[in-house]
Amino acid sequence: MANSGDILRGHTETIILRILSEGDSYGYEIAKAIIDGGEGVIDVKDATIYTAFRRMEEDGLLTTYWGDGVGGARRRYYKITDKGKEVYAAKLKEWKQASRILTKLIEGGNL
Amino acid sequence: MTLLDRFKAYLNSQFKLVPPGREAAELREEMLGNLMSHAMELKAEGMDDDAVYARCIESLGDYTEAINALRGKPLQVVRDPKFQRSVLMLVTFSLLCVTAYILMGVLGKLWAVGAYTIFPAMAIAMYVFATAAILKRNVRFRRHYTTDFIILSYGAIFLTALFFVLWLACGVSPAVAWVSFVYIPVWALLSVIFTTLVLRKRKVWLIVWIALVMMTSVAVFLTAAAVTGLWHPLWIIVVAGALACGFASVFALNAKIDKKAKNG
Repeated sequence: MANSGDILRGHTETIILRILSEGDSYGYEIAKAIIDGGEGVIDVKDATIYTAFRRMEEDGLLTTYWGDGVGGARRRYYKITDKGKEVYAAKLKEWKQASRILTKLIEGGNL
Repeated sequence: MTLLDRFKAYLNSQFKLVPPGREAAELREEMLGNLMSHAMELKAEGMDDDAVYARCIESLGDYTEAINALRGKPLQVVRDPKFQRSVLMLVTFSLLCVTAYILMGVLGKLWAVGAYTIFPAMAIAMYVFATAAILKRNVRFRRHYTTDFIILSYGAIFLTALFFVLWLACGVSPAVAWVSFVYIPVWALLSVIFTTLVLRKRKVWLIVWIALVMMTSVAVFLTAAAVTGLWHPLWIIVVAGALACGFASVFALNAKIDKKAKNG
């Protein structure tokens, strides 16, 4: 079984864009959504998400704002931009094509 | 100690070598927000504080790369438009001062007066501008590593100027006017006490006690020597105060190291 790093490699940003396309969110909530959806195979640390956030913010895919938090600490929320939505649509299309081809190559048969 | 305080202490240790700045403050606050969100969920599941703390810190992962990137930021300050504008202001101000000096010399033949007035005034104005910018930054980020030195420098400049005013303008004998210099260390100790008690978030009581002991020994020495005229050997009082502070510091720091070792 591939480790979580191998599975996520190259897809972290697409996954974050997908989560944010459903609504604004913050670091811990996004990390939790990835871990919960990873069926126990994927583990992701806050630092990994943070590094992706910074890169995506620099590329204009996300914007940020501060919101209320819990226990006396504020949360930094992330919001997907129009450019982020376009990039997500393109990445999703690429993924569907790659997934179809890989399934055919690995499982065999005609699709 | 609450979980919030424990997380803040953890982040303080992680950001110890990071210079203050907007990006560093935001990363720190974001990390704290994520830690507390995670912690509140684990607490709701019935986990105890120690377990919650350990799990949350573990889930942070390796922020070394992000934190190290911030440690290199002082070099990037030169790209900040505010910094660039400040430098341009200083250059313009210096050019204006030099122009004024040349005009005074060429038009009024006042080369010497110009040199004695314009350049010291320029140096003072630049020092005030630079220290005001540093103090503003210190207050904004609540980091007062340099505040007491700045307060001390103004006190030292004022007391030195006072000596010359008393001597040259008021005709006071330098043998008496020199007393103004004695107040420089007193002012230094007062500025340390002020910044430690009022401005610094973390109160280092050892510094306050050292300042108080040193002030008291200097005051006792000055009073006793002035009354008795025995400046020698009463100076030993100040040395005794310094030695007491030195020993007390060694004991206090040793106790701190012991406590740290016990807590692992």
